[in-house]
Amino acid sequence: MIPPGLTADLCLKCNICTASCPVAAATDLFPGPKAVGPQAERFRHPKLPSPDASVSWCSGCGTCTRVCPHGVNVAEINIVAKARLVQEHGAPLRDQAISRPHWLGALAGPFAAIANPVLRQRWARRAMGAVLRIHPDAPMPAFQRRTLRGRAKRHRVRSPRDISTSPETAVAFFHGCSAEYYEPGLGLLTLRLLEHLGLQPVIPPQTCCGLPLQSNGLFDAARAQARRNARSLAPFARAGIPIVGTSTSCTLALKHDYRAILGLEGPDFDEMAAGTYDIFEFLVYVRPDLLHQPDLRALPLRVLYHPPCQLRSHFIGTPAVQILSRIPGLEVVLSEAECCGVAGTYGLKSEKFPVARGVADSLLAQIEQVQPDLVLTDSETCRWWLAGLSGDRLVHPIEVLAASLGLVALPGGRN
Amino acid sequence: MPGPTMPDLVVIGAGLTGLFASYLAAAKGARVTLISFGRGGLSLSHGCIDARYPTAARSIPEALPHPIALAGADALRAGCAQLNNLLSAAGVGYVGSLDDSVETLTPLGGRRPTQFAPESLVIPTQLLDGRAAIAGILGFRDFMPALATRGWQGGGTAPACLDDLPWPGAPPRRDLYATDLARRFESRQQLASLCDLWRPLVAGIDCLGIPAVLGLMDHVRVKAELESSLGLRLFEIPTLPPSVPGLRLETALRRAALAAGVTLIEGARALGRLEGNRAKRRALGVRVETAGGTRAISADKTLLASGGILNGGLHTDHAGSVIEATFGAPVAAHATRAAWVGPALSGPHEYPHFGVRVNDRMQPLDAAGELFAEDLYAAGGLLAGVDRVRTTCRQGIDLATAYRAIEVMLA
Repeated sequence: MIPPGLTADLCLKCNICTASCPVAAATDLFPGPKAVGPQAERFRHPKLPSPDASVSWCSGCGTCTRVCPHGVNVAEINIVAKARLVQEHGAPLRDQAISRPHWLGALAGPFAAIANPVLRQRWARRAMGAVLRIHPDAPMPAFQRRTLRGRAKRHRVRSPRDISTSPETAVAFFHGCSAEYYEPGLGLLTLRLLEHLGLQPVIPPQTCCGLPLQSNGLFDAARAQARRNARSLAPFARAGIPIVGTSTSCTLALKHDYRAILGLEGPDFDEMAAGTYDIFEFLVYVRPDLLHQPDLRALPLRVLYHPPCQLRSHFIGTPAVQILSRIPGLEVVLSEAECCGVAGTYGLKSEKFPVARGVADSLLAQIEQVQPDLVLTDSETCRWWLAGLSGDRLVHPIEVLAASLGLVALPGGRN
Repeated sequence: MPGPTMPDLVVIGAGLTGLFASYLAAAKGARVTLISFGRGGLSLSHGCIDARYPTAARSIPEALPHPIALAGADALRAGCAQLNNLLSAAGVGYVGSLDDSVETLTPLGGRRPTQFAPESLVIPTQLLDGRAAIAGILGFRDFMPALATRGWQGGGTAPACLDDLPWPGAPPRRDLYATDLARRFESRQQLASLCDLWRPLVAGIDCLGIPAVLGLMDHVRVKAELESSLGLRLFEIPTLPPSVPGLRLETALRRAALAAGVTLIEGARALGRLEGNRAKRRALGVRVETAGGTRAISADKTLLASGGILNGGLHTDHAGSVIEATFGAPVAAHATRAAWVGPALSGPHEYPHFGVRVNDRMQPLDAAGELFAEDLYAAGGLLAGVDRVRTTCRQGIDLATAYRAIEVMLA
């Protein structure tokens, strides 16, 4: 992998990234991806302090890299530059905390019955705002008493050797922190769906992908988690067992960020990246034989689907739409927003919340205009953010597929 | 829902050609996957449709038919009609016709004829009859009114150059981009206070030219409201990129393509044909580079709309060889580098004419004049024989060849 900074010289200053950047559109505090990226990169000397901090307004959504027609890794340049600012100035306690969702989930989960009602109180959120500078209006997920791994013991394996059936039917599920600690129901449903399709889903050893640490500039801690995941997941990829995830930001970390942003190298990282798939990508490109049209029941619904910015950075298009468009009666309206605004942990921060809220405006307006029965998006942070801001029910597209397969009733729908 | 007899298509490139071709094919019921390494370059364009074409193309090095002559005059007419229908449905009003020209004002003060232009860019008749002026906007550095008024070549007396018009509220904390201004103009609240602020500054002026930033997709309403509130005739002048008229065209095309069911894969680089079928001279689709690894997208037919030498569709090396970048199709080009450029830096040059040679079915040909691959087609800037910067039919080539290619591919 080329270090991102070296791609700055490919920049033609065409401003295609500037025109597409959702953050620059929402605030004039951010000079835009081209200005703080390839343009400012030539002023960043490896041994001198960072000359300017305006890159810290970048949310890391990755739109700029995706739209660049000339191969500049704009977002990667900016994420590395943000991390250098953190190295120089340190990370506040808040960033240290919110970048470790696995610790928070493990610590608070057992006390969910107390923690959740308390965190719904205005005074508690105001206190968090004052002490930690987490914005009182930023939606947060609820803690769960029991984890996915605790509820799906029979799926747990330590290595590919523990798998009894043929490797052709085995699938390794990367649940990430959300399905493990915050949405174990979604994880269980995914396992059921994979079994329903004739596969043997297993849960390999894993830890948080490290993306929140990376986004908050804590690269060393992120690298430690990346190495742990590569050690335990690469053997599955090597055995030809696809690694499949429902969280599009976690799977992007495994595929791309470890190597392109954290600078990690070696066959473990390459093989894990090549063997990792978003669950809909898996159903479209790896096993298109599994879904049979007659098995898909009609869902007479109009849904608005927002492909998360992190999914778009997979460069695989919108495979969920390719699958969902096969469901009879289902009308899928595509979101026109590049990003919902929250970009992982960005929108939670008191100083960033107004910008993130501004980014969300166009998507919220489209939801208001389309009046869908359900709003769908793959990334958990987008779902929590949009549900909190819009008051709508947000679901993962895999829940809609599961409903069409008759595995579950869709909540909130007309059916 | 794709029809049972419709082919699966892959289109490579999301500029005017690729977006338009994808839309056409999907609207007719084909399943279309559009692959785009980065976003197409429409946001660098003036948004007009130039479609006046000469009878012959340049010889590179042997004589070549003009791409529009290959596609046919009918394809040009039908392509332009389809695009105009799409644009009026999107509320982006274009005016003009193939048989006549309309004129827009360049940022340097020249008149630029074109066949179809956004109504807001067309020079109003009041520009020469009445008290006219051109103004920039404070904090926006991508448009200089004095360049237009001092370099005036628009006939009659040059319009006055006003001081940059201010924006209500606190001054911006950085230079503004055209897209920032376009979003601000779309805010009804800001528009009302802006009119109060501008009214005394434009008193006595009948016709005002301002940079093309009057809203992203709602500029028809914005322009009408401003004109009625300020009591004058407004028109837009293109700016440096990001160019809002180009973005409007891109947005309208992208929305139409996605609504017609096109699957857009943005960011993936197209690598080449699918493995294992070289002998049969078929592409079978395309391999693409995604964040995780290479994915194969199979298709019955593949359309190359990846652009010319300035747009990534052609690959050159230091030794002087030129080749089509994705499938390695042969390119009509001069063999030695010395022959690429003309004597003057500002041109004309030979290299902008390089491109892929196609037959009248828009299929790339090899050196012997045989089909390069049975299932491969090419359209737009990739085609040989025309210098796209200097020609008067750049968008006409894109529309006509895209239309012809899709007509043949779906036949």
